[in-house]
Amino acid sequence: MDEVADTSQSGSGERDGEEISKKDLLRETGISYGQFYRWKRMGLIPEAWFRRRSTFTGQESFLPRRKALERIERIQGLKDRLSLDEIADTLSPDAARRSYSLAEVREMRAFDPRAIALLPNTSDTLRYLDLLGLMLIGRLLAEGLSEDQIRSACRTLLHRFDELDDGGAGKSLIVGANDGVTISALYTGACLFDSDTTVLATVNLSKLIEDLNLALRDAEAA
Amino acid sequence: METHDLGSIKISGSGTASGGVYDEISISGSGKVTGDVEAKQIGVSGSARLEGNVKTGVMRGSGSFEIARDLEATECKCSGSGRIKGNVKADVLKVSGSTEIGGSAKVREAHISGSATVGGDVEGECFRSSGRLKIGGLLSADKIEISLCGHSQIREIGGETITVRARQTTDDGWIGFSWSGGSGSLEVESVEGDDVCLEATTAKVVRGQRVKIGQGCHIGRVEYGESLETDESAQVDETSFTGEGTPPAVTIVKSENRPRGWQVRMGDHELHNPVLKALVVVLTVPVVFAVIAFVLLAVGAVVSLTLGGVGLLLVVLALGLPLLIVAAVVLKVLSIPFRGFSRRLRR
Repeated sequence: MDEVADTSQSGSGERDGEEISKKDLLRETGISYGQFYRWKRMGLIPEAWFRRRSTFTGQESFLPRRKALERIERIQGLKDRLSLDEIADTLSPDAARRSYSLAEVREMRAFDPRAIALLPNTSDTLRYLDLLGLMLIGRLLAEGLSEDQIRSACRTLLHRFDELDDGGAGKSLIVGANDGVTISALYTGACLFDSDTTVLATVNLSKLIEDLNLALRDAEAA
Repeated sequence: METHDLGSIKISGSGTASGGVYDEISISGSGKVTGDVEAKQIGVSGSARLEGNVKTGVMRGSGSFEIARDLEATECKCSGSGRIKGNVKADVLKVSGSTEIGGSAKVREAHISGSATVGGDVEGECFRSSGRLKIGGLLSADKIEISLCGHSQIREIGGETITVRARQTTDDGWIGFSWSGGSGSLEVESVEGDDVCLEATTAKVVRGQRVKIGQGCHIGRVEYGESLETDESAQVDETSFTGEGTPPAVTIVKSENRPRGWQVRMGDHELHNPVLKALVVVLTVPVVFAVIAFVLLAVGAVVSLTLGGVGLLLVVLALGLPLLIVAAVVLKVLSIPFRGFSRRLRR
């Protein structure tokens, strides 16, 4: 029926900017129109992602494939324990959130105590962004990266935080090493280094933001 | 005349008040409020103009009012001809007059029985309408129920359950009369829902799981995931099965021969027998006209005592007019084409 449209969308691999029609998105994820429109109303699927286009089957909306699939997977994972409003809070990086004191942060189990020492920020209050940095350092420590490598990755995150619109949907941070030089970058889609570079770690940023928000939520509740 | 009393605004002639936080705002003449206002309650019954953003608990508009910017309310009831140039955010929106919203409307529940024009999107959990709609953007709600009246236009509809009926139904009262001339229609680009049931709708695309295309529909393409039922009189250019496995057969329903003309309902029961319908009309309609006739007769009797000839004319009117109207209604109920009848008479 719609085979032409289907192959053109799934055949081109992981290229960034690839789109998926709303219809195919629903079919791939198994969600209903009711759920889709409800989530759209809640702002869980941002209006900005929609591209209306005429196809040979009539008007159809298209969404960025990776972002949309990842977002729906995330909502499906959270919807059993959180309300839609709470999910909406969890998915967005909220830079305006209150800041936390160092003592408060030490109390929270989500943060590795070794990570706090590595954070470039030396002030006594930590903003949301710093906490996200802490979360990242924790992950990279677990991956066994050296302190210098972690600092480099953390700088990349802190400088590029503004790029994380849409809750960092589809974005990851990659850390690689080439002959003793650490490379770190934010990317969407695929990130390909030359053969001399070894990839040390990749961190999914929307997952990182979600984990941080959940940790902060639990801390507020406790 | 304007009084600032305990943080309330009351304008009952013509006046201007400035924005701010108030307890209650009530305007019954032609008043103007400049700047943003916040109040527990706002009542507007004349021609009022609120020039800033409005935030309130209950908003009642019954005259011709205008809000130049956004409105945020827990409950918004518009029964006059209101115009809100910005966006509307309300828990409950009730429109029984003709209301125009320039931006978009975000509500939990909407009941439209007059006519509503919205420039942008309408979003809610439950949307019910028996009026005329013109929506420039997406109408999205979990439950959408539209009884068509006149010509409605909506760009896109999306939700869980979407029902569009060609007929007007009157739900209240023990006996209900309704006119099903089939004059209502809806024009929409696309309809997407899990359960979609349409009548008198012209659409380019309809996508859904369980789809029913009823009488008077013109659909360019139907994509269904589970089942499709089309009325034999409906025009569907193309169908496509989007579910898994082998496509189920499309069910074609015979057009329910819905009589045009007056419909009579008693309780929850729709009367189909023309003789029974006529009987109900003959029994109920005269009661109404008997009252009118009695009043006219009484006036006529009094006047005839004093004026003679003119009074007599009134008496004739009193007896003749109701009889004529009853006859007309009975003809309608029996589905005798009235217009054709009179045309034939003229020839």
